[in-house]
Amino acid sequence: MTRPLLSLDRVSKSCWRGRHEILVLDEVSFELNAGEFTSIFGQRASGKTTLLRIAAGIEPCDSGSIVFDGEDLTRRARRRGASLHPRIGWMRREGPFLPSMDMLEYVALPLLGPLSYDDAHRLATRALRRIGADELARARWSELSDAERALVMIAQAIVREPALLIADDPTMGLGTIEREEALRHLREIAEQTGMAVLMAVPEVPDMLRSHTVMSLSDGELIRSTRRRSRADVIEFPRERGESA
Amino acid sequence: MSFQNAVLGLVIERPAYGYELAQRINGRVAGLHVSGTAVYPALVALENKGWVRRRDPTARTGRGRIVFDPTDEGREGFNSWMDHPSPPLRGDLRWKIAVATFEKLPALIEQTREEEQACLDRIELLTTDAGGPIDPIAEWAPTGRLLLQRTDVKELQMKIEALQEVRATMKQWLRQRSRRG
Repeated sequence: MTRPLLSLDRVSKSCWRGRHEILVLDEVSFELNAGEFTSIFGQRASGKTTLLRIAAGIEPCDSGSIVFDGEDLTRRARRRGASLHPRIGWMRREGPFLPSMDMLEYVALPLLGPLSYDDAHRLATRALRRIGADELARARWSELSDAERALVMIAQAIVREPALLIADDPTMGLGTIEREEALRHLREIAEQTGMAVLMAVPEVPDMLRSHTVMSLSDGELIRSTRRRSRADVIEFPRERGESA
Repeated sequence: MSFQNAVLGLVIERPAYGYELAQRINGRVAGLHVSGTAVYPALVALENKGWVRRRDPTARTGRGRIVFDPTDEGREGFNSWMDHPSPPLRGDLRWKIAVATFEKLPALIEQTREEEQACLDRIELLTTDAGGPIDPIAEWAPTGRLLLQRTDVKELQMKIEALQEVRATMKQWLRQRSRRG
Protein backbone atom coordinates (compact mmCIF):
# COMPACT_ATOMS: atom_id res chain seq x y z
CA MET A 1 0.00 0.00 0.00
CA THR A 2 1.39 3.42 -0.93
CA ARG A 3 1.85 6.07 1.72
CA PRO A 4 -0.53 9.04 1.40
CA LEU A 5 1.09 12.33 0.44
CA LEU A 6 -0.80 14.27 3.08
CA SER A 7 -2.39 12.86 6.18
CA LEU A 8 -4.38 14.71 8.83
CA ASP A 9 -5.15 12.68 11.92
CA ARG A 10 -7.77 13.86 14.43
CA VAL A 11 -6.94 17.52 13.96
CA SER A 12 -8.82 19.90 16.25
CA LYS A 13 -8.75 23.66 16.39
CA SER A 14 -10.85 26.14 18.32
CA CYS A 15 -10.95 29.91 18.45
CA TRP A 16 -12.60 32.53 20.62
CA ARG A 17 -15.38 34.78 19.43
CA GLY A 18 -15.99 37.18 22.26
CA ARG A 19 -16.60 35.03 25.33
CA HIS A 20 -17.51 31.96 23.32
CA GLU A 21 -15.10 29.26 22.30
CA ILE A 22 -15.89 27.96 18.82
CA LEU A 23 -14.73 24.51 17.79
CA VAL A 24 -13.64 25.16 14.19
CA LEU A 25 -12.26 21.67 13.54
CA ASP A 26 -13.37 18.70 15.61
CA GLU A 27 -11.03 15.72 15.19
CA VAL A 28 -10.82 16.06 11.44
CA SER A 29 -9.01 13.25 9.62
CA PHE A 30 -8.36 12.65 5.95
CA GLU A 31 -5.69 11.51 3.57
CA LEU A 32 -4.68 12.81 0.19
CA ASN A 33 -2.75 10.85 -2.42
CA ALA A 34 -0.45 12.08 -5.16
CA GLY A 35 -2.38 12.88 -8.33
CA GLU A 36 -5.67 13.25 -6.48
CA PHE A 37 -7.89 16.30 -6.82
CA THR A 38 -9.90 16.68 -3.62
CA SER A 39 -12.52 19.33 -2.88
CA ILE A 40 -13.96 20.46 0.40
CA PHE A 41 -17.32 22.20 0.39
CA GLY A 42 -18.20 24.52 3.23
CA GLN A 43 -20.49 27.45 3.78
CA ARG A 44 -19.21 30.85 4.83
CA ALA A 45 -17.18 30.77 8.07
CA SER A 46 -17.27 26.96 8.18
CA GLY A 47 -13.52 26.72 8.81
CA LYS A 48 -12.38 25.87 5.26
CA THR A 49 -9.51 28.36 5.20
CA THR A 50 -8.37 27.31 8.68
CA LEU A 51 -8.36 23.68 7.56
CA LEU A 52 -6.33 24.52 4.44
CA ARG A 53 -3.84 26.62 6.42
CA ILE A 54 -3.39 23.80 8.94
CA ALA A 55 -2.98 21.26 6.12
CA ALA A 56 -0.35 23.56 4.57
CA GLY A 57 1.52 23.74 7.88
CA ILE A 58 1.25 27.51 8.22
CA GLU A 59 -1.23 27.52 11.09
CA PRO A 60 -0.88 25.38 14.20
CA CYS A 61 -3.65 23.06 15.36
CA ASP A 62 -4.60 22.50 19.01
CA SER A 63 -4.32 18.72 18.79
CA GLY A 64 -3.85 15.99 16.21
CA SER A 65 -1.13 15.57 13.63
CA ILE A 66 -0.33 16.54 10.05
CA VAL A 67 2.15 14.52 8.03
CA PHE A 68 3.19 15.69 4.59
CA ASP A 69 5.39 13.47 2.44
CA GLY A 70 6.65 11.69 5.54
CA GLU A 71 7.46 14.97 7.32
CA ASP A 72 5.67 16.06 10.49
CA LEU A 73 4.15 19.48 9.77
CA THR A 74 2.53 19.71 13.20
CA ARG A 75 5.63 21.00 14.97
CA ARG A 76 6.78 23.03 11.97
CA ALA A 77 3.52 25.01 12.11
CA ARG A 78 4.05 25.85 15.79
CA ARG A 79 7.25 27.72 14.97
CA ARG A 80 6.86 31.47 14.99
CA GLY A 81 6.21 32.78 11.48
CA ALA A 82 6.08 29.32 9.93
CA SER A 83 6.52 29.57 6.18
CA LEU A 84 5.00 27.42 3.48
CA HIS A 85 6.78 24.10 2.93
CA PRO A 86 8.83 24.33 -0.28
CA ARG A 87 6.92 21.38 -1.79
CA ILE A 88 3.51 22.89 -1.10
CA GLY A 89 2.06 25.49 -3.46
CA TRP A 90 -0.62 27.95 -2.30
CA MET A 91 -2.80 29.60 -4.90
CA ARG A 92 -2.94 33.27 -4.05
CA ARG A 93 -5.81 35.58 -4.84
CA GLU A 94 -4.04 38.92 -4.87
CA GLY A 95 -2.16 40.33 -7.81
CA PRO A 96 1.37 41.75 -7.80
CA PHE A 97 2.09 44.67 -5.47
CA LEU A 98 4.01 46.38 -8.28
CA PRO A 99 1.56 47.31 -11.05
CA SER A 100 4.39 47.55 -13.59
CA MET A 101 5.30 43.88 -13.16
CA ASP A 102 4.43 41.66 -16.11
CA MET A 103 2.89 38.22 -15.54
CA LEU A 104 6.06 36.30 -16.35
CA GLU A 105 7.88 38.20 -13.61
CA TYR A 106 4.94 37.73 -11.26
CA VAL A 107 4.74 33.98 -11.85
CA ALA A 108 8.53 33.72 -11.41
CA LEU A 109 8.48 35.58 -8.06
CA PRO A 110 8.48 32.51 -5.74
CA LEU A 111 11.62 31.24 -7.50
CA LEU A 112 13.71 34.39 -7.27
CA GLY A 113 16.35 33.96 -4.64
CA PRO A 114 16.88 30.21 -4.83
CA LEU A 115 17.21 30.37 -8.64
CA SER A 116 18.83 32.74 -11.10
CA TYR A 117 16.67 35.24 -12.97
CA ASP A 118 16.97 33.24 -16.22
CA ASP A 119 16.14 29.91 -14.62
CA ALA A 120 13.19 31.42 -12.74
CA HIS A 121 11.85 32.88 -15.98
CA ARG A 122 12.33 29.61 -17.82
CA LEU A 123 10.28 27.73 -15.21
CA ALA A 124 7.67 30.50 -15.12
CA THR A 125 7.29 30.25 -18.90
CA ARG A 126 6.82 26.51 -18.53
CA ALA A 127 4.18 26.96 -15.81
CA LEU A 128 2.24 29.43 -17.96
CA ARG A 129 2.48 27.11 -20.96
CA ARG A 130 1.24 24.16 -18.92
CA ILE A 131 -2.10 25.85 -18.39
CA GLY A 132 -2.20 27.33 -21.89
CA ALA A 133 -1.62 30.90 -20.72
CA ASP A 134 1.79 31.65 -22.26
CA GLU A 135 0.34 34.56 -24.23
CA LEU A 136 -0.20 36.35 -20.90
CA ALA A 137 3.53 36.46 -20.11
CA ARG A 138 4.00 40.10 -21.10
CA ALA A 139 0.61 41.36 -19.92
CA ARG A 140 0.10 43.56 -16.86
CA TRP A 141 -2.30 42.53 -14.06
CA SER A 142 -4.60 45.47 -14.83
CA GLU A 143 -5.02 44.25 -18.41
CA LEU A 144 -6.29 40.80 -17.44
CA SER A 145 -9.84 39.52 -17.09
CA ASP A 146 -10.81 37.67 -13.88
CA ALA A 147 -10.48 34.35 -15.73
CA GLU A 148 -6.97 35.22 -16.95
CA ARG A 149 -5.99 36.31 -13.45
CA ALA A 150 -7.11 32.92 -12.13
CA LEU A 151 -4.88 31.18 -14.69
CA VAL A 152 -1.89 33.35 -13.74
CA MET A 153 -2.42 32.52 -10.08
CA ILE A 154 -2.57 28.80 -10.86
CA ALA A 155 0.69 29.16 -12.83
CA GLN A 156 2.35 30.94 -9.91
CA ALA A 157 1.17 28.28 -7.46
CA ILE A 158 2.65 25.45 -9.54
CA VAL A 159 5.84 27.20 -10.67
CA ARG A 160 7.92 25.51 -7.96
CA GLU A 161 6.44 22.18 -9.06
CA PRO A 162 5.07 21.40 -5.62
CA ALA A 163 3.85 17.95 -4.67
CA LEU A 164 0.71 19.51 -3.21
CA LEU A 165 -1.25 22.48 -4.52
CA ILE A 166 -3.71 24.16 -2.17
CA ALA A 167 -6.40 26.47 -3.53
CA ASP A 168 -8.83 28.42 -1.35
CA ASP A 169 -11.93 29.32 -3.39
CA PRO A 170 -9.99 29.63 -6.65
CA THR A 171 -13.06 30.43 -8.75
CA MET A 172 -14.31 33.35 -6.70
CA GLY A 173 -15.79 36.01 -8.97
CA LEU A 174 -15.68 33.87 -12.12
CA GLY A 175 -18.60 33.07 -14.47
CA THR A 176 -19.66 29.51 -15.26
CA ILE A 177 -17.46 29.10 -18.34
CA GLU A 178 -14.40 30.63 -16.66
CA ARG A 179 -14.94 28.48 -13.58
CA GLU A 180 -15.01 25.38 -15.74
CA GLU A 181 -11.79 26.43 -17.43
CA ALA A 182 -9.92 27.01 -14.16
CA LEU A 183 -11.20 23.78 -12.59
CA ARG A 184 -10.35 21.77 -15.70
CA HIS A 185 -6.77 23.03 -15.43
CA LEU A 186 -6.57 21.99 -11.78
CA ARG A 187 -7.76 18.49 -12.65
CA GLU A 188 -5.33 18.23 -15.55
CA ILE A 189 -2.47 19.34 -13.32
CA ALA A 190 -3.35 16.56 -10.87
CA GLU A 191 -3.72 13.91 -13.53
CA GLN A 192 -0.82 14.87 -15.78
CA THR A 193 1.82 15.80 -13.22
CA GLY A 194 0.88 13.65 -10.23
CA MET A 195 0.52 16.78 -8.10
CA ALA A 196 -2.16 16.47 -5.41
CA VAL A 197 -4.69 19.30 -5.39
CA LEU A 198 -6.64 20.28 -2.29
CA MET A 199 -9.32 22.89 -2.90
CA ALA A 200 -11.98 24.53 -0.71
CA VAL A 201 -15.11 25.94 -2.33
CA PRO A 202 -18.36 27.54 -1.16
CA GLU A 203 -20.26 26.20 -4.19
CA VAL A 204 -20.86 22.48 -4.72
CA PRO A 205 -20.91 22.66 -8.56
CA ASP A 206 -17.24 23.66 -8.38
CA MET A 207 -16.48 20.19 -7.05
CA LEU A 208 -17.61 18.52 -10.28
CA ARG A 209 -14.06 18.21 -11.63
CA SER A 210 -12.70 16.65 -8.44
CA HIS A 211 -11.90 13.03 -7.82
CA THR A 212 -12.92 13.13 -4.15
CA VAL A 213 -15.43 15.38 -2.37
CA MET A 214 -15.89 16.25 1.29
CA SER A 215 -17.95 18.72 3.26
CA LEU A 216 -17.12 20.73 6.36
CA SER A 217 -19.58 22.19 8.85
CA ASP A 218 -19.69 22.80 12.57
CA GLY A 219 -16.15 21.42 12.82
CA GLU A 220 -17.06 18.09 11.23
CA LEU A 221 -15.62 16.81 8.00
CA ILE A 222 -17.84 14.38 6.11
CA ARG A 223 -16.47 12.28 3.27
CA SER A 224 -18.19 10.42 0.51
CA THR A 225 -18.25 6.67 0.93
CA ARG A 226 -17.37 6.09 -2.71
CA ARG A 227 -13.73 7.13 -2.25
CA ARG A 228 -11.95 5.65 -5.22
CA SER A 229 -8.39 4.49 -5.39
CA ARG A 230 -5.89 6.54 -7.36
CA ALA A 231 -5.80 3.81 -10.00
CA ASP A 232 -9.50 4.35 -10.65
CA VAL A 233 -9.25 8.07 -11.24
CA ILE A 234 -5.96 8.54 -13.03
CA GLU A 235 -5.55 6.91 -16.34
CA PHE A 236 -1.93 7.71 -17.22
CA PRO A 237 -0.07 9.25 -14.33
CA ARG A 238 3.30 10.65 -15.30
CA GLU A 239 6.24 11.40 -13.09
CA ARG A 240 6.41 14.99 -11.92
CA GLY A 241 8.26 17.16 -14.38
CA GLU A 242 8.29 14.53 -17.12
CA SER A 243 6.04 16.49 -19.45
CA ALA A 244 7.83 19.79 -18.86
CA MET B 1 -44.72 4.61 5.48
CA SER B 2 -42.96 7.75 6.73
CA PHE B 3 -46.25 9.60 7.18
CA GLN B 4 -47.70 6.58 8.94
CA ASN B 5 -44.76 6.49 11.31
CA ALA B 6 -45.06 10.21 11.95
CA VAL B 7 -48.76 9.71 12.87
CA LEU B 8 -47.72 6.83 15.13
CA GLY B 9 -45.16 9.14 16.78
CA LEU B 10 -47.91 11.62 17.62
CA VAL B 11 -50.16 8.88 19.02
CA ILE B 12 -47.29 7.72 21.25
CA GLU B 13 -46.70 11.31 22.33
CA ARG B 14 -50.38 11.69 23.29
CA PRO B 15 -53.27 9.38 22.33
CA ALA B 16 -55.76 11.24 20.14
CA TYR B 17 -58.48 11.01 17.53
CA GLY B 18 -57.96 11.58 13.82
CA TYR B 19 -58.88 15.24 13.52
CA GLU B 20 -56.69 16.24 16.44
CA LEU B 21 -53.78 14.25 15.00
CA ALA B 22 -54.17 16.08 11.68
CA GLN B 23 -54.09 19.42 13.48
CA ARG B 24 -50.99 18.44 15.41
CA ILE B 25 -49.11 17.16 12.38
CA ASN B 26 -49.95 20.36 10.48
CA GLY B 27 -48.44 22.28 13.37
CA ARG B 28 -45.16 20.38 12.98
CA VAL B 29 -44.52 20.96 9.28
CA ALA B 30 -44.84 24.44 7.81
CA GLY B 31 -47.11 24.59 4.78
CA LEU B 32 -48.68 21.19 5.44
CA HIS B 33 -52.48 20.99 5.28
CA VAL B 34 -53.45 17.41 6.10
CA SER B 35 -57.20 16.96 6.58
CA GLY B 36 -58.71 14.87 9.35
CA THR B 37 -59.85 12.24 6.87
CA ALA B 38 -56.34 11.93 5.41
CA VAL B 39 -55.03 10.69 8.75
CA TYR B 40 -57.51 7.80 9.00
CA PRO B 41 -55.98 5.56 6.28
CA ALA B 42 -52.68 5.83 8.16
CA LEU B 43 -54.42 4.98 11.46
CA VAL B 44 -56.22 2.01 9.91
CA ALA B 45 -52.96 0.71 8.43
CA LEU B 46 -51.30 1.08 11.85
CA GLU B 47 -54.24 -0.67 13.47
CA ASN B 48 -53.99 -3.57 11.00
CA LYS B 49 -50.31 -3.93 11.90
CA GLY B 50 -51.26 -4.00 15.56
CA TRP B 51 -49.32 -0.81 16.30
CA VAL B 52 -52.31 1.25 17.52
CA ARG B 53 -55.71 0.23 18.90
CA ARG B 54 -59.03 1.99 19.36
CA ARG B 55 -59.78 2.90 22.94
CA ASP B 56 -63.42 1.90 22.42
CA PRO B 57 -63.58 -0.81 19.74
CA THR B 58 -67.36 -0.50 19.41
CA ALA B 59 -67.30 3.21 18.50
CA ARG B 60 -67.54 3.45 14.70
CA THR B 61 -69.63 6.40 13.59
CA GLY B 62 -71.55 9.40 14.86
CA ARG B 63 -70.10 12.14 17.02
CA GLY B 64 -68.28 9.69 19.23
CA ARG B 65 -64.60 10.37 18.68
CA ILE B 66 -62.37 7.36 18.20
CA VAL B 67 -59.26 7.80 20.26
CA PHE B 68 -56.23 5.73 19.26
CA ASP B 69 -53.69 4.38 21.75
CA PRO B 70 -50.26 2.97 20.89
CA THR B 71 -49.49 -0.69 21.55
CA ASP B 72 -46.15 -2.02 22.83
CA GLU B 73 -45.43 -3.32 19.32
CA GLY B 74 -46.18 0.16 17.97
CA ARG B 75 -43.74 1.77 20.39
CA GLU B 76 -41.13 -0.76 19.39
CA GLY B 77 -41.73 -0.17 15.68
CA PHE B 78 -41.59 3.59 16.08
CA ASN B 79 -38.32 3.46 18.05
CA SER B 80 -36.79 1.20 15.46
CA TRP B 81 -37.80 3.62 12.65
CA MET B 82 -36.44 6.63 14.52
CA ASP B 83 -33.17 5.03 15.63
CA HIS B 84 -32.17 3.36 12.39
CA PRO B 85 -31.24 5.16 9.19
CA SER B 86 -33.83 5.01 6.44
CA PRO B 87 -32.75 4.73 2.80
CA PRO B 88 -31.07 8.09 2.08
CA LEU B 89 -32.59 10.91 0.03
CA ARG B 90 -36.15 9.54 0.42
CA GLY B 91 -37.50 12.20 2.75
CA ASP B 92 -37.96 10.04 5.87
CA LEU B 93 -35.67 12.30 7.86
CA ARG B 94 -38.12 15.17 7.36
CA TRP B 95 -40.87 13.28 9.18
CA LYS B 96 -38.49 12.06 11.85
CA ILE B 97 -37.46 15.64 12.62
CA ALA B 98 -41.12 16.65 12.81
CA VAL B 99 -41.98 14.11 15.51
CA ALA B 100 -38.60 13.84 17.27
CA THR B 101 -38.24 13.93 21.01
CA PHE B 102 -35.13 15.12 22.83
CA GLU B 103 -33.73 11.64 23.45
CA LYS B 104 -33.95 10.82 19.74
CA LEU B 105 -31.68 13.71 18.71
CA PRO B 106 -28.34 11.81 18.88
CA ALA B 107 -29.69 9.15 16.50
CA LEU B 108 -31.05 11.83 14.17
CA ILE B 109 -27.73 13.70 14.19
CA GLU B 110 -26.06 10.52 13.02
CA GLN B 111 -28.70 10.12 10.31
CA THR B 112 -28.06 13.65 9.00
CA ARG B 113 -24.41 12.65 8.59
CA GLU B 114 -25.37 9.56 6.64
CA GLU B 115 -27.78 11.57 4.49
CA GLU B 116 -25.06 14.15 3.78
CA GLN B 117 -22.66 11.36 2.90
CA ALA B 118 -25.23 10.04 0.41
CA CYS B 119 -25.37 13.52 -1.18
CA LEU B 120 -21.57 13.55 -1.47
CA ASP B 121 -21.66 10.09 -3.02
CA ARG B 122 -24.14 11.35 -5.59
CA ILE B 123 -21.91 14.37 -6.35
CA GLU B 124 -18.89 12.13 -6.74
CA LEU B 125 -20.85 9.93 -9.11
CA LEU B 126 -21.55 13.02 -11.21
CA THR B 127 -17.86 14.00 -11.18
CA THR B 128 -16.97 10.79 -12.98
CA ASP B 129 -19.04 12.05 -15.88
CA ALA B 130 -18.12 15.72 -15.92
CA GLY B 131 -18.06 15.94 -19.73
CA GLY B 132 -15.62 17.93 -21.81
CA PRO B 133 -14.63 21.57 -21.48
CA ILE B 134 -17.23 24.21 -22.27
CA ASP B 135 -16.65 25.77 -25.63
CA PRO B 136 -19.00 28.73 -26.07
CA ILE B 137 -18.51 28.69 -29.85
CA ALA B 138 -19.23 25.00 -30.34
CA GLU B 139 -22.64 23.31 -30.35
CA TRP B 140 -24.92 24.14 -27.44
CA ALA B 141 -25.40 20.49 -26.37
CA PRO B 142 -22.26 20.07 -24.22
CA THR B 143 -22.84 23.43 -22.57
CA GLY B 144 -26.48 22.58 -21.89
CA ARG B 145 -25.45 19.22 -20.50
CA LEU B 146 -22.98 20.82 -18.14
CA LEU B 147 -25.48 23.44 -17.01
CA LEU B 148 -28.02 20.71 -16.20
CA GLN B 149 -25.37 18.81 -14.32
CA ARG B 150 -24.51 21.94 -12.33
CA THR B 151 -28.22 22.46 -11.61
CA ASP B 152 -28.56 18.90 -10.26
CA VAL B 153 -25.55 19.50 -8.07
CA LYS B 154 -26.94 22.84 -6.87
CA GLU B 155 -30.00 20.97 -5.58
CA LEU B 156 -27.68 18.63 -3.70
CA GLN B 157 -25.89 21.67 -2.28
CA MET B 158 -29.18 23.00 -0.92
CA LYS B 159 -29.85 19.64 0.67
CA ILE B 160 -26.37 19.49 2.19
CA GLU B 161 -26.70 23.02 3.58
CA ALA B 162 -30.10 22.18 5.09
CA LEU B 163 -28.72 18.99 6.68
CA GLN B 164 -25.78 20.91 8.11
CA GLU B 165 -28.12 23.46 9.63
CA VAL B 166 -30.35 20.76 11.11
CA ARG B 167 -27.36 18.96 12.60
CA ALA B 168 -25.80 22.12 14.02
CA THR B 169 -29.11 23.08 15.66
CA MET B 170 -29.64 19.63 17.14
CA LYS B 171 -26.09 19.62 18.52
CA GLN B 172 -26.63 23.08 19.98
CA TRP B 173 -29.83 21.85 21.65
CA LEU B 174 -28.03 18.90 23.19
CA ARG B 175 -25.21 21.13 24.45
CA GLN B 176 -27.62 23.61 26.01
CA ARG B 177 -29.63 20.84 27.66
CA SER B 178 -26.52 19.17 29.05
CA ARG B 179 -25.31 22.53 30.44
CA ARG B 180 -28.62 22.95 32.24
CA GLY B 181 -28.25 19.42 33.59
